[in-house]
Amino acid sequence: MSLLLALVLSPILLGIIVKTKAFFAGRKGQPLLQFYYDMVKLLQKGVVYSSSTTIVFRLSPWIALAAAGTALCILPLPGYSGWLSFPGDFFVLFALLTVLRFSLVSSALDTGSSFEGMGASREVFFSFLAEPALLLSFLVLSFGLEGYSLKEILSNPFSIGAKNTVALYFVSVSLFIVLLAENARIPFDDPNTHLELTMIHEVMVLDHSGPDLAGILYSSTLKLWILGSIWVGISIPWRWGNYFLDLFVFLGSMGLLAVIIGIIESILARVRMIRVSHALSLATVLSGLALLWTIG
Amino acid sequence: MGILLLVCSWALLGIGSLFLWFLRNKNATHLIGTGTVLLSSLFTLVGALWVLIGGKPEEFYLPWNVPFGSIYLHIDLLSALFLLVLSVVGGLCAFYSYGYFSSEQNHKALERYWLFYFGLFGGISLVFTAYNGVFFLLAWEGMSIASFFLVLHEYNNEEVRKAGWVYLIATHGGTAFLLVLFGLLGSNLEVWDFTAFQYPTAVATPIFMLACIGFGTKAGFMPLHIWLPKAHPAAPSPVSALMSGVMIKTGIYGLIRVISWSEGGIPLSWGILCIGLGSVTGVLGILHALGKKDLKEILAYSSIENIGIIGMGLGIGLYGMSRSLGIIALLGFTSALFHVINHGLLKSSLFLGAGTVLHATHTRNIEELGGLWKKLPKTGALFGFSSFGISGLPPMNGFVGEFILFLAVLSLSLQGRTILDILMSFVVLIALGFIGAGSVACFTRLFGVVFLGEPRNKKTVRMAEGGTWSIPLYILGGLNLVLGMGSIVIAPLVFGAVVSTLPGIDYHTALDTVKILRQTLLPLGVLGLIFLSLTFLLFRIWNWILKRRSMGTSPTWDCGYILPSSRMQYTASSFSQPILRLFRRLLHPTESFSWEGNIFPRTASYTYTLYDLIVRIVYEPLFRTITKVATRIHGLQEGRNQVYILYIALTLIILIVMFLGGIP
Repeated sequence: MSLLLALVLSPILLGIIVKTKAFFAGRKGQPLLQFYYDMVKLLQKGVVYSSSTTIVFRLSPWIALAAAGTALCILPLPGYSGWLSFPGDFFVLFALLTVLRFSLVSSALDTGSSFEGMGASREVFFSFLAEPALLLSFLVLSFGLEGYSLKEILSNPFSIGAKNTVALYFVSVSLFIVLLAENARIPFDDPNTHLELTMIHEVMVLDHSGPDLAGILYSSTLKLWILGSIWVGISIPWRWGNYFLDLFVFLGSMGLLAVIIGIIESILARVRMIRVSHALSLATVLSGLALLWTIG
Repeated sequence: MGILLLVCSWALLGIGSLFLWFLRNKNATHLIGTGTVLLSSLFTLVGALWVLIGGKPEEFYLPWNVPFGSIYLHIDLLSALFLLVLSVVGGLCAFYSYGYFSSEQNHKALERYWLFYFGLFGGISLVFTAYNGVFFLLAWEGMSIASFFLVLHEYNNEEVRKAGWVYLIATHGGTAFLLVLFGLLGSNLEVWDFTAFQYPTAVATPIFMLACIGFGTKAGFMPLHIWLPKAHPAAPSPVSALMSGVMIKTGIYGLIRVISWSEGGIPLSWGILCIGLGSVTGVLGILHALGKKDLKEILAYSSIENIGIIGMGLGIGLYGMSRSLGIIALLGFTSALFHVINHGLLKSSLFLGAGTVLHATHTRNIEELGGLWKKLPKTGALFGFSSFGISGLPPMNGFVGEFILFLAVLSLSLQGRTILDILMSFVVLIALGFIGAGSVACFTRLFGVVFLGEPRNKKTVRMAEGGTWSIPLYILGGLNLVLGMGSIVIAPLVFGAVVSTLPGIDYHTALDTVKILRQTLLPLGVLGLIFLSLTFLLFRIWNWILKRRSMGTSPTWDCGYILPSSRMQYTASSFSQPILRLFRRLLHPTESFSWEGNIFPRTASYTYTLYDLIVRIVYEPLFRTITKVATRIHGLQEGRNQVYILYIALTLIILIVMFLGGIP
C-alpha cells in the first residue's frame, strides 16, 4: 500500500514545493500536477544520445529507478511494517540510494562533459559528508528507541523518553539537513537555475532526454519521498493505531514537509560551495550531540 | 582426503618446476606453467571444498629433526575457507597470465615467472595448512621470497627494483616479529606445534602486539602498509591480483590463529586497538586512493581500505569476546571472514582488468586514459561491475561483509549500552560512513576516468583486448554477483569456520547468531533479486518504447561551445579535489597553482601530488634520525690500525679500573 502511494503521490511533492515558492513570489505558479504532465510528455518524446556515451549512460536511468523501487520495498508507513522488514534494513535502504547515486555519477562521467563531471564531483563530495551524519542519526535512533529495523524505530518515537526528546529534535534537524543535501534542494543546490556552472544534481542529467530523463526525474522524486517519509516518521511522532487516521496524518505531514522545503527555498539563497561542508558538518555535530544526550 | 589432494597439488607444482627446468621451448614452458597451476588449483579447490562441506578437520603428522619442528599439516574449516579463495584466485590469475605473457619473447623471463608463481601458490597454501611454528615460518618465508621475485619480474626498471627493496625490508621486518612471537609462544615447548600453543593472560598482550605487527605488516594495517602501494604497481598485474586478493589475507589468517590460542579471557584493549587500527586504516586508505593518479596504486590503497574494514570486523569480534557478548563476537568475526572472501574476488578481478588496460595502453597514469570502454568493451563492463561491487553496494558481495559488520555494531550499541560500547559503535559507524561514501567516489572516479568519456590522449590505445583474457574476469564477476545474492548460502560455511576456530563459544549463542544471519541475509537476497529483475524489466520496457520513438545522436552538450576537445573533460584530480581539499590539513598534499593574466586568464595550471601521510610523518623522520645517529657513530670508524689499538687499550684500562674498583 505504502509502495503504491509512493509511486503515485511522490511527484506531487514537487508540485507543492513549486506552488509554495510561487505563493512567496506572488505568482500563480505551475499547476500542482505539472510534474505528471511533464513525465507523460517526456515518455512520448524521442531520445538523443551523445556520441561519447556507452551503454552505461543508457542503463543508468533504469538502474537508478530500480534501486529507488527496491528501496520502496523496505520503506514502511510510519507505525506499520514495510513490505520487507529485518534488522538493519535502513542500512540496506541507504545503500540502495547510494546505488542510485553510483549510476547517475557514472552516466554523468560517460558523457565526457566538463559540466557533468563537475556535478558528479560535487555529488560524491556532498554524500561523503552526508553519509556519516545519516548513519550517526540512525545510531542515536536505534539506541534510544531500542529498535533494529525501520519499523521498530518509526513505530513510536516518543518511547525515547521525555528526557531524551531533545535528542529527537537534534536528529530531526540533522536528518532534515541531510534530506535537503541529498535531494539537491536549496541551500545546497538550486533545482531551478539553468546555468550549468552552478548546478549539481541537474547538471548531471543535462544530456539525458525523453524517456531516459523521465526515468531519472522519477527516481529523484522517489528518493525525495523515501527520505521525506523517514524524516516525517521521526519528526511527526504521533501514532493513533488506526491505519486510515495514521495514513491521513502521514500524507498531511508529507504535504507539510513539501511546504517547509518550499518556504526554505523562498527565503534562503544557495550557499557557496565552501559553506556546504560547514552545513553538512553541522548535521554530523548535531547527531553527535544527540548521541551524547541519549547516553548521558 | 583433503590433505591428500593438497599434497597432490604440491607434488604437481614440484613436477611442473622440474619440467620448467628441462624445457627449452618458450611456448611449452608457458603452457606447462599455466597448466600446472590450473591443475594444482583444481586439486586445492576440491580439497578445500571436501573439508568445508564435510565439516571434519583433517591432519597429517610426521616428526622432523629440525629443532622445534615437525611436519604437521592440518586443515580445519578456517584453513579450508582461505584455501578456497586461494584456489579460485590463484587458478584464474594463472589462466590470465597465459594471455598476458603470450607475447613475451624472453624464455628465461617466462621460466622465472612460472617458477616463482609455483612458489607463491604453494607457499600460500602451505601457510594455510602448516600447523607447526617452524614449518609455518618456512612456508611464510617461501611465500614472501617467491612474491619478492615476482614483484621484481621487470627488474630492468629502476622503479621496480626500488619497490622490491621496500617490499623485502617490510616483509622481513614483519617476519622478525613473527619469529619472536613463536619463540615466546613456544618458550617451554619441545616442538612448536600449534596444538600446544596456548598462552595465559599474563603474556597475552605482548603476544598479541607482536602478532599485530608481524601479521599486520603482511596484511597492510596502517602504519605498516607502506609496501603495498609500492609493490602492487611494480608487480605484473596477475601477480598484483594474487598478492592483493590472497597473500595479504595470510596476515588476517595468522591473526585469527593467534586469537584462537588465547587461554584466558581477551583483554578489552585488544578489541579497542583493532577497531582503532581498522578505522584509521580504512579512512586513510580511501583518502589516499582518492588522491592518487596511478591506476594500480589506487587499487593498492583500496586494498588497504578493505583491510581496514576487515580489521574493524576483527576488532568488534574481539571486543565482543572480552565483553562476553557472544553474538556480537560471532557477527564481527563472520563479517571479517566474509569480507576476506569478497575482497579477494573483487580486488583480483579489478587488478586483472587493470592489467588489460596496462597492456593495451602502456600507461598507469589515469589522467592520460579515458574512453577505453569503446576499445575494450568486455574489460570495461567487467571492471565497472567490480567497481560497483567493491564500492559496497547491493546486490554485490562487497556489501555483505559491511552489512554484517553494521549488524554487529548495531547489536553492540543496543545490547552493550555502556559508554565504551557506544563509543566503539560510534567509531566504526563513522568510519563505515566515510569509507562507504569514499569508495563510491573513488571507484566512480577510477571507472569513469579510465573507461568512460572521451580519450584524453588519442595515442594511448595500441592493442585490442585478448580473446581468452576476459574469461577469468567473467568468472570472477559471476562469482561476485552469486556471493552477493546468495550470501545466505555462503554464510553457514563462513560461520562454521568462525565457530570452530574461536575458543569458548557456546551452542546457544551460535544458534542465536545463525538466526540473526538468516533473518537478515535472506531478505537481502530477495531485495537483490527484486533489484535485478526490476532493472531488467525496466530496460526491456524502455527498449520496447524506444522502438516506437526517434533516436538521434549528437555531440555532448557543452553550453553551445562548438569545438569541444577531450582535454576539457573533468580530470581525475579535479573530480576528487573537493573531498581532498577538506582534508588538506591532514594529508598535506603538494599543490601548485599558476595563473597568468589578471582578469582574462591566458594560461593556468594546477597539479596535485599526494605523498603517503604515514611515510611523511613516521618513516621519513625515523630514518632521518637513524641516519643522523649512524653518521655520528661513523666517526669512530677511523680506518687506521693505531686508532683501533687505542680503542682496545682504552677498553682494557676501563675494565681494569672497574675490576679494581669492585664494580661487578
